[in-house]
Amino acid sequence: MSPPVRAEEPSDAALVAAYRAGDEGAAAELVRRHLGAVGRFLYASGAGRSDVEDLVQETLFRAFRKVDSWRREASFRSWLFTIAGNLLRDEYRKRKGRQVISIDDRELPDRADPEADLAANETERRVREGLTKLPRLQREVFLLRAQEGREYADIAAALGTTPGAARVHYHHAVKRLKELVK
Amino acid sequence: MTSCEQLSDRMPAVARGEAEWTAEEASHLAGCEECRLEWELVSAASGLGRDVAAELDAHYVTERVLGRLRAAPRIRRQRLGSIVAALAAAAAVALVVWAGPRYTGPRTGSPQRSVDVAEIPLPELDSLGTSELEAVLQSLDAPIGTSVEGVDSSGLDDLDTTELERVLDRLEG
Repeated sequence: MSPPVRAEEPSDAALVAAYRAGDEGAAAELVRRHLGAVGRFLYASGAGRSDVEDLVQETLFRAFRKVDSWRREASFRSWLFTIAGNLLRDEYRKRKGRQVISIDDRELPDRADPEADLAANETERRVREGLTKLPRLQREVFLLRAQEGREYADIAAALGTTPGAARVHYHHAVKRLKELVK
Repeated sequence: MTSCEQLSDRMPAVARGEAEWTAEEASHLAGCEECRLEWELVSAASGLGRDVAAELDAHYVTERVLGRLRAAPRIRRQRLGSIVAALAAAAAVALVVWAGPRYTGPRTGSPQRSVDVAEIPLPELDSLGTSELEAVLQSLDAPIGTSVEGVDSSGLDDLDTTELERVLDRLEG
């Protein structure tokens, strides 16, 4: 889902229109709204912790440069995720297939219950590692669904597939992740 | 009765804290190993990267993105000269190809052929300034395949998407 947008707040579409009309403040608001979600998506897709900020920046820059190509069939955020996914793929190719991605980012956040959090962290680490082994479409469908709670229709519009196919990709991803995370 | 499919559809909302399990759903979850495993995956994925996202500095990222966007139009304007040069060079090559087969060698006393070529109207060139015309002339002297500044078209197959997009950006302005 999109971040909480209060009734009086302009929609993403209105902000995009304002940006296209020259309002930089609208772009700043869009960055604020989507920065965290794009960062989480990139990290969950395998980006190294230290690379996330640069990749978020590049994603948003690319998005604003070609904002005219956002057709609104998918939500603005889902569209951003497809740009982020393309960026990760390009980075992977640039490094000739070497890991973009530091799966071993294991810095533990400071939490109150170290044992429970250690177990949770271990599960998250394994899920993240498993995600990097999925085909791109399966990974992105799964993350758009699990992290963002997107409906299959929105996911399908963003990724250029059908809602039925998106559902199938999701279930394939779950099945594969169950095997990888065991 | 709750099915695995229904439970699966509800998982993202519950993982994100937007909904809670009903008693029936909780009961299904407790007794269904496949659903429990899926729930573990979805809830773990839902939390992935929260700490990383929290570390992002919105103000810094905003300034960097907007700064680059402000610079982008300037880059496009600087590229205009090379784009015009590339188009003019392509037009010149087309002219040469078009006129080439008709050229039968130097003919004394018959300069009409070169006059024909020179008289073909190229209104685009009339609107160019001196520096742009110089850029056109330079591009005509450049080796084939380098008419777009910094890009050798013979190596396009080696470019990745980003680089190809940059080439297209230059061509499209």
